Amino acid sequence: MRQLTKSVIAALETLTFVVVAASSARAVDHNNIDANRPLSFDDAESIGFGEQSFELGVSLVKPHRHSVGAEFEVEYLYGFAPNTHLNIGIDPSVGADDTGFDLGNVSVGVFHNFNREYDNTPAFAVRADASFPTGRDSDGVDFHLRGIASKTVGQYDRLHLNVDLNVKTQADDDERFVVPGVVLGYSRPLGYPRRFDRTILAEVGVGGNEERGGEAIISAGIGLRQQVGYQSVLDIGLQSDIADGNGERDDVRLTVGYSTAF
Amino acid sequence: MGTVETPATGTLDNKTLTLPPVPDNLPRWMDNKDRNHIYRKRGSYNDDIYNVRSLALDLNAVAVGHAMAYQDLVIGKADRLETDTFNRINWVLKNPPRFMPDEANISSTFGRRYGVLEQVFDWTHVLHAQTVDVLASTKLTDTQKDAEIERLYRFYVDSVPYAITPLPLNMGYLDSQPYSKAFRQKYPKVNGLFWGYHWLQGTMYDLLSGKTLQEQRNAYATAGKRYHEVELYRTDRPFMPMFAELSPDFAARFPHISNTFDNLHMLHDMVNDILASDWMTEEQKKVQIKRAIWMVSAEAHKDMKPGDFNANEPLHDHRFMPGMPGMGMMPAGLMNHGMPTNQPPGITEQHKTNHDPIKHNTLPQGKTEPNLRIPAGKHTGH
Repeated sequence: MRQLTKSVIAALETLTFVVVAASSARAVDHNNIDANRPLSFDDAESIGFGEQSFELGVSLVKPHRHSVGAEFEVEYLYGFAPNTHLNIGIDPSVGADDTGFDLGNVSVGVFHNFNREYDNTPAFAVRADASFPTGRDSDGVDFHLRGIASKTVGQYDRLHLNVDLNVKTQADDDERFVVPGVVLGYSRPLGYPRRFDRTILAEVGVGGNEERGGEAIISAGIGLRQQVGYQSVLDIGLQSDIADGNGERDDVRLTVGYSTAF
Repeated sequence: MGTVETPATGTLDNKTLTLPPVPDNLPRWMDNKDRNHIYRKRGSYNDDIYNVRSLALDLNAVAVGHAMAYQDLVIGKADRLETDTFNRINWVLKNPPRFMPDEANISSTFGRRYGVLEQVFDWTHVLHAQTVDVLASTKLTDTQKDAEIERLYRFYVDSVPYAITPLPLNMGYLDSQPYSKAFRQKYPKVNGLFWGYHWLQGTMYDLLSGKTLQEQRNAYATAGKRYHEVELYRTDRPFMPMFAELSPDFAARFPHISNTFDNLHMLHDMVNDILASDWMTEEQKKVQIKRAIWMVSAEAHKDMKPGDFNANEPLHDHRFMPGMPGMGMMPAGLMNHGMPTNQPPGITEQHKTNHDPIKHNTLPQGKTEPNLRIPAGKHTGH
């Protein structure tokens, strides 16, 4: 337990350093939604051409029948071309399975927006990520392909459909190589016409079980993005697996994050 | 409506005949369906306008007004513009947001319908915001500020095709389209707010230039009071406030930037008028907005220069000489949007404009008709 506490503190200190180091930079809009900030879905908009961004997060995770652990995420985004950005991230974790600190896997991805939303046509985008096995007990490269459609409904409500395909190049005997998933996200600016700095989010998702023979997992989440600087955003979200095929509840995840662009 | 003789068409029975066509050789970017968000130029001065916090907050509030009005105009709430919409905007002006709001989020329907226009507006707003950030910077010298403003202008012109022309366009021409003046006649209170914004945006350049931070704050304490108490609520302006009048020093040093901002504000007025013209169909509005963008775009006037004048091509009437700021053909005797006036005590702006001949041409509130007093130009492209 003491080892776990030390690891958590070390990770938090690292995270705090990065946040402080990045605080002189400027950030993102509260209504520009990226995966894990704080829920699992993306909207179909890339960051601006020439824009750079740091996105940082910490999640407290309570796996079913396990003690609470912490997962971290540090991601750098760069709008290297119009409507396209690059993202590089790492996701250290600590204690989720009583295994101490894990550096996590390094991921590299590209996000491309095909069009803005116009008339009744949604905005469409695609992102592709590769996750390299730099973490403990990781092997093989994981690929993640996501198709995204975002559409405004009415004046302010917006729906975001994410269709996922996760592919493992190396899987254990009891694991699937290919795992599909679908997430339906919802966002709405909160407070109009009195305030313009807050967006509420919700999602419901269905994903394939990584274990062979496992049932599909249904999950749900709710979150908030709050502008806290001229261009920086704080996010907080709560997610949970509602049920798998056996009707069992599983992970509960509380996420807090900070994003800034410059 | 009765039949009216017009110079251009003879009758008004078919009003659409008064609408000038959009050129068929427009550049491809005007039909783009891309989002094309471009990040601002990096600089140590970015967001330094918050050094003069009360001005920064007022500018944040300004961003809300046009977006709310545009949204209500396109979602069928035009009849509430002078009441509900005005009150909503006015509340925000009195309670400005801490951070710059995202206009696209407020006017989502407008943005889905007129996305390229939104991109044109956004891009010049970026130049607007960054030039003011430079002037509010406490790190740069005055010489460095002038140099950086020129660099920002080059970045603005070179980065995307959405730039607005720096030439002194003929305001008389731009303001004499078939739809011109519809918004100010139908929605004088909301139009007053918008022209109040233009007053603030024009005034702040000389207000910030060449001053210490404390002097800037002191200057805005006075100007901000006048903005909130007087300028936002004037409905007697004959036309929009302009830079050469409000910030003559800045306009003399940067006539191209001053003209760009005046042309941007003119584009806002033209779009307001198009959206307020209830005799146009949605499709006609789309076409005329596209034409309005083209008329003020840098690309439409490529390789031309101030002072060019061709009586057969009113679009290319850039009659002011190089280095001279201000849009051509400002109606004589209708100035004085500025801070100090030389008028004798007791004579107010209201007194002066009550005798303005334009005032007598105002249509009854709630009605818009094609503007037929000045013939619309036939030529909109090259």
